[in-house]
Amino acid sequence: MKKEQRTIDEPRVKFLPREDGHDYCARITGIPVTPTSKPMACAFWNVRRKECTIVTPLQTGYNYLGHELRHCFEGSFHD
Amino acid sequence: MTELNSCAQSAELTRRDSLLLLFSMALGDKAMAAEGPAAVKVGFLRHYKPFSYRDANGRPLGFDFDVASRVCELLQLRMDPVLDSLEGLAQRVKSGEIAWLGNQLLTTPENRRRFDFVRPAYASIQLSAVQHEDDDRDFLSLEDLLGKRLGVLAGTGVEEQARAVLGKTVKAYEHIENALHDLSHQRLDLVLEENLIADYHIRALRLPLKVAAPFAAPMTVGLGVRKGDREMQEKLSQTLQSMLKDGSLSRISEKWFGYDVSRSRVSHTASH
Repeated sequence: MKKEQRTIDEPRVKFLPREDGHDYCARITGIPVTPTSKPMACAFWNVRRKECTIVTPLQTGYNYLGHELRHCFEGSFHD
Repeated sequence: MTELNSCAQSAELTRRDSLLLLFSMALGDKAMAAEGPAAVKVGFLRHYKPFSYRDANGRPLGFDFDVASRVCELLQLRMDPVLDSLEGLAQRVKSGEIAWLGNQLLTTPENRRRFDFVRPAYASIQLSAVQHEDDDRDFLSLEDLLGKRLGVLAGTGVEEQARAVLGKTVKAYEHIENALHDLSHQRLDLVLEENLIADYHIRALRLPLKVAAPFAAPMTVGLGVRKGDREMQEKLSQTLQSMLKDGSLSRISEKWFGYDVSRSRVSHTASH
């Protein structure tokens, strides 16, 4: 996506691996932790301050990080 | 092809005009033709800054007020705002005195018994941490706040839950502005408040604060209409969707919050 079309053109990104990563992401997104599915990563951002935070469990992967990093630039693009 | 397009457009206009006329008649007012737009009564909570409130001169204003004004503009109606308590508004909606409730309410079971709700919601509202702008600590749960000074709005579920985990380090305030003021002077470590209310006050009062981590999922909210009033529900839903597409919701958001609040500020990746 072009810079001028982004939700945040140049976000400051923080990466927070946490023991309660699954539970935190479930709590802030409303996606429940079930035996077959659970949130593997999540992100939240502040457009006015151009800041974005990615939260994951302690064990994660670049696929999850990359996906959330895209949200940091492009905001909510799934819907 | 041009003729076909033209016919289709004119058929569409006729259909739209008929709908508007029916809608206007359904509101119990005279047709708009010669006398200007028909009036429609829209209800708002009296003290719900920044969504609906009165200024020093008694003039109603707010984010929801501006959204409802634009809805009325698109429906070619003249808005007649009615400000009241939630109880009063619920009765007025039930009796048909007001056409809809111009504030987005939580779709709790109790509210669902009194109203039908309009989709989509036009603002993403989420309980969030508010911190001093110089504070880089990460508070993502109540457990992270053990031993810290937390400010909350008094008499809310948030106060109850926070006290259950943190006990006496929770300070409850009658007005959230006072909690934000204390936080800006670093007499608190954190305030828990809905993101849009916090964002509005931070901007309006130029406070050195920031909305940080969400503490809960986005709230499920919507405009309230009389139970069973499918026509109104659908009309408002279509109009809100038009406003999301034509950029008018974004412009109203920018005016009140400085950014587009119709978009979520959280995302996730799930395993399957």
